[in-house]
Amino acid sequence: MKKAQLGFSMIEILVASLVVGLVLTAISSALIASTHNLAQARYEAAASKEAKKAMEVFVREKVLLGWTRFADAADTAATYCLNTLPLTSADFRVMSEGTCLTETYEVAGEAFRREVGVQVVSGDEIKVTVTVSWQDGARDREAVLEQNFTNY
Amino acid sequence: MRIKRQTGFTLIELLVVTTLSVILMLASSVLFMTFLVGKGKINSLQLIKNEGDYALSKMEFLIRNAIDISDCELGMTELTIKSLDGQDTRFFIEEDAGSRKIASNSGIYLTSGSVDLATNADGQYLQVDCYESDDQRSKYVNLSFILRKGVPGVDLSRDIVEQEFSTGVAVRSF
Repeated sequence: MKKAQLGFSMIEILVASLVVGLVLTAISSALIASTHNLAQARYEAAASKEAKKAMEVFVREKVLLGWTRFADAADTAATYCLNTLPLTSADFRVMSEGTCLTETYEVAGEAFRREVGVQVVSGDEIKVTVTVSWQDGARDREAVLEQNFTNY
Repeated sequence: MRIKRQTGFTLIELLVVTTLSVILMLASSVLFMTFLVGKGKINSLQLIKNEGDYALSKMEFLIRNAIDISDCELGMTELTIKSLDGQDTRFFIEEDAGSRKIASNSGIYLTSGSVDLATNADGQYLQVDCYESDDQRSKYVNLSFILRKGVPGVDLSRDIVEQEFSTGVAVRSF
């Protein structure tokens, strides 16, 4: 007499491990995605803070230099790499043009690049765009802050 | 002799089940603890944000509407402004029983005792940079401070939350 089968069949084990595998993959990928998003959100917050700091320098210099000299310091369209901010009006007036290329500075454990675009809209209006960018794996991420300065 | 048919669980089965449930319980309690710590951190951060934003906005308003700033230098640790009413308003750090608050001379504290101030890279609790234009008619003030919840060395480092606050204000010239 043939003994009655005990335990699971091959098919049952295969199906069970498949289901377990699927569930584990889903959970782990969700966990990895959420840690990654958390880190990126932190960098995003740091980046917008850095952008605000650069914009505040332009506000400061507009106040200190007055419109005429502030507008003189800006070319028709120029980009400046402001990884370090100009501390004084004198520094501000001699900022050298150019993009950051590979130069970065570190905030909260991440390498950032801060570039400021200055565009003269008219004699009485200058548009300043601060872009703080960082690398998220192979992707470029950035925080952008824009402000129009007017002569009032 | 007839062998009695086995009912119930074997010892091995019971052992395996207990081990599995212990592992599960450990994992879930770790998750729960992380959740609790994270929640505490979010609460602390929220408190710090409220306190810091309040202090910043109060100082910002008074500085923006000030008539003048008599001592205008970089790297100051306190700030005295001549307010609209002609009186001097002074912002400074007051130390009380080992914890610090941002205070103004009108007897009002801008931060409460539930948060402390931490030093910045230059070792200052309150950093005030006042810029003056060449003709000395325009002034611009940069304020920055770091608020901290939790005491280093007493609380666990994971329970200590810090946040930097900074802003720039142009003084309206009258």
